Amino acid sequence: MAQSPNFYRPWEMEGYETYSGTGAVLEDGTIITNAHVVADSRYLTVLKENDPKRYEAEILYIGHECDLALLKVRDEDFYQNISYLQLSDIIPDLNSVVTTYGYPMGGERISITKGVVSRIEIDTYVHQWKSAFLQVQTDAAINPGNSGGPVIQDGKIVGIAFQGLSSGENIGYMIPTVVIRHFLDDVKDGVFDGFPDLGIIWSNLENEDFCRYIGMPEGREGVYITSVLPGGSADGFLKKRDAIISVDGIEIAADGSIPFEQGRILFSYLIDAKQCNEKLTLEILRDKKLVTVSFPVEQSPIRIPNYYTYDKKPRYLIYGGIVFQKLSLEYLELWDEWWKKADSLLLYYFGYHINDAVKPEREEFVVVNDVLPDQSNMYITDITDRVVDTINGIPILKLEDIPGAIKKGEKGFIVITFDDFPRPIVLKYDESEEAQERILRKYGIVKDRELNR
Amino acid sequence: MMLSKRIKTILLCVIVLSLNLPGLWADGDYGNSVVAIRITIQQWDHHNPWQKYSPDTSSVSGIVIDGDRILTEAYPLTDHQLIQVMKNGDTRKYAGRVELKDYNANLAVITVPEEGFFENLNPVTFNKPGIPEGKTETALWEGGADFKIYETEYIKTYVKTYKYSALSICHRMSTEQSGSARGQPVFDEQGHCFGLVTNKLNGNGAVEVISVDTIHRFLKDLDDGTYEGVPSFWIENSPLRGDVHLKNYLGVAADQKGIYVSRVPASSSFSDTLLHNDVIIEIDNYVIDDSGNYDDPSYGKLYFPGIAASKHQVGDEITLKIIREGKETEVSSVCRPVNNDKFYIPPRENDIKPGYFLFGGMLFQELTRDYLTAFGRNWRQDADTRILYLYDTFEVYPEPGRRRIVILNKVFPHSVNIGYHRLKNEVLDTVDGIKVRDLAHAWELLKSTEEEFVRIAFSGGAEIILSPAAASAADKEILQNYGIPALSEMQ
Repeated sequence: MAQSPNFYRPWEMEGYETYSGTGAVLEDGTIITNAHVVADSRYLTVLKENDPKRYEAEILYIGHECDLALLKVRDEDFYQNISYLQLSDIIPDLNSVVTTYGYPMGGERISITKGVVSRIEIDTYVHQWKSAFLQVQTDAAINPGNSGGPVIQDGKIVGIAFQGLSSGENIGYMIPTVVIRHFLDDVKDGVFDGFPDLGIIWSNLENEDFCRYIGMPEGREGVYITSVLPGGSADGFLKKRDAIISVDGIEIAADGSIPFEQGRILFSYLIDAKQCNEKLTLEILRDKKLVTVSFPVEQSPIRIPNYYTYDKKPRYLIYGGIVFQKLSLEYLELWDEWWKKADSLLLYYFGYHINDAVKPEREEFVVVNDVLPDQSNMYITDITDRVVDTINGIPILKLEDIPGAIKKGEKGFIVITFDDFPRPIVLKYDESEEAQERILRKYGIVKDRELNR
Repeated sequence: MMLSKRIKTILLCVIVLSLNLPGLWADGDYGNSVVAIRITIQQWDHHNPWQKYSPDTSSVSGIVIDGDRILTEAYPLTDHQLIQVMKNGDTRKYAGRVELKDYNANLAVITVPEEGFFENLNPVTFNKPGIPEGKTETALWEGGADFKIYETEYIKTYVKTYKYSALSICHRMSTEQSGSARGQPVFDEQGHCFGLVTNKLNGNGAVEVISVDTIHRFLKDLDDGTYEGVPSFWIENSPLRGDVHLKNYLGVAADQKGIYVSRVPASSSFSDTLLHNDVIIEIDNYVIDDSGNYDDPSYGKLYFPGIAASKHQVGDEITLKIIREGKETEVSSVCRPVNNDKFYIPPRENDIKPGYFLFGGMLFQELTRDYLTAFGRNWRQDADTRILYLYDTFEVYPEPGRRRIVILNKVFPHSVNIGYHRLKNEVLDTVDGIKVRDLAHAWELLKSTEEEFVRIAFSGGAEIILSPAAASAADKEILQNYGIPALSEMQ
């Protein structure tokens, strides 16, 4: 049973829905499955073949970006007649045979399908839409319900089935064991930290004149940094206009690829392989000189998340009937075909705030979603989906800045201004203070804010 | 088959008869005051700026006015190649010539140089401004030979605005006419013309009619010597709409009405006179209400830019009564024209060949509204979000040092630009570190460099490096290879 928040009325949850998937029992008795099978879960049970009993399970760890979760069943009975599965050490070869096990649509009992490995590549893990990691494509049928099921070769798990391509035929994907092991290693200390990133935007260095201009030594290649994310891993270590030549001694080609198995793969693979706070050593070209820099990698802060958030309530704050929220992917998804039909200023911020360093002082972008009508705010008209700039002259850099900025300003007013919008909101401080409880009660809102990150 | 065709013919006759009926009570013989015009246009392809789309021909009407002239709508004349005028139901075509087009007013004047053309034509008499009384009708020569009159009904009057200016005072009228209805006169019961049909609204059923107020302003402007255009009234504003809190905050009495001024773009007549947080309470002694309307003597409540669209010429002084920091005061401005040169992103550049240049296979152009609309009918959704953002905000929040926004439209792949092929719709920022002012400036910077390499940087951090010598050699091949006639076209 899973329940997700309502981003239009962020104080409310949607009704619950029931989902099912597949899991594999590992040697230590934990069950590995996909994060999307158990995301936002409120109540969780597992079943096993030839046993009518439902066993309650709990989530030990969940890694949304790699779409993996580790579950535990408390009832010892569950582990009777269970065979435990081992993780393989290999990435299966192209064209080698693999078998998927799972409980897909179309029946109740276990389903087993065979296929071959058809492609190995770095691509997006769509559950969170945050990162692209290594994934293995197979033509063994993977259908809804297969999610989280093991893909077996030579009696060992070589992958966890996790996503498919609805427009194609027989295109299913599994999470290879390098990613599964990364997840399991990550949580050994009791916390899921996730996959680190460099926190840069780069472009290729395929143009010869470009290479000559920046003084690339003969025979070397690399990629060129066009932006460094403030507060990200590379901030303070790498600069815009550096070229990255190698990572941990492995040379990067002009298109950003490195050698991998029989082919090539994006160099981000090397960063994905690190745990947070592990050190990385880069050879870079800066001001026509080769230098070596080392720094620990971690997750870079993203001011407008371009990925989904799970198991967390939306951040919001309601004052004087004005509903303030942070700009996020889920907020934009309130529009149908949001990528072209959402408010154009919000789309620009979403798409370009990193490249164009839009309002770099802001930690997040605070949006007025709606105004809950009340006699204290009845003069406000047409303020929806506007990005807050200041309140009483104080720049609003994050939701937490709002309570401090709301005070009796000049002549007893609260004045709220917006980005690229010709009209401020003006409220009377005393009236709004008095109205706060009334508005929450009237609209059935239990909490006026949710500021947990 | 034959049978159904006959039935159709009979039905048609009945309809035509009934539609012709209103003509019986009208005293005017409008036939020699209305002409049919066939316009062949060929528009520039703003995404491939050296070429044009296929030619297109459309039929509109025109009104005969004093001075052997024809008044019609401006938009159908965009990028015109040939104008053919027909009169009195005769299909003989006469070559027409455009005397003047103003897209802001959406009005144009055409003449026919051939001697004697106007001999059996009668200029219309225009009505005074005001809501037409009694029955009204519109007339045209359909297909040049078939005279048709359709009953129309007045619905309302409003001010048609663009974001940067008022254009015209228009009437909305209902009509039974199907098909195109552009450039036709509308007559009242006395046979006086009180407007020119410009546009079908919501498909069929209603048309937009430019009022005589706007026509008079246009003709007066034209007949007093040089035509200067509609004054620019662009004020980023928000009517106060009874917002007592905002009024109190601005130091305005709760019962005082007006419009709140946010910003005034450089191209506006009021750029030097109005300030952020001003409240406009009167324009030209017309009191402005809380919806931004003034009380027009002819039509009642109209949106305030209608004052410019009907009552003012460029060079006129306009006096505003405003409240600034709680004090009532008067300011005045001299009306300036809506002038494309004053815009950072020109609103429309019809009839002008788009400027561009190629450098190392990279196609550079200025960002214009025409560049955006070339993304297609849904350009507001399909164009890149950064350039849409610039279109929405740059005029009001410009960047110092920029006169225009220069865009890298696309890259024509060649070995000289390997690695850059995927760049498109990028905003050019600097050339060798120098901020680019406009297209001509960028071209000058790139042509005049004597360095071995030139560095071209775009908004957002993307950069390209080219050897000017190699780029120039490559461009000769690129022109040849991609069939581009010239390296550059500067306006």
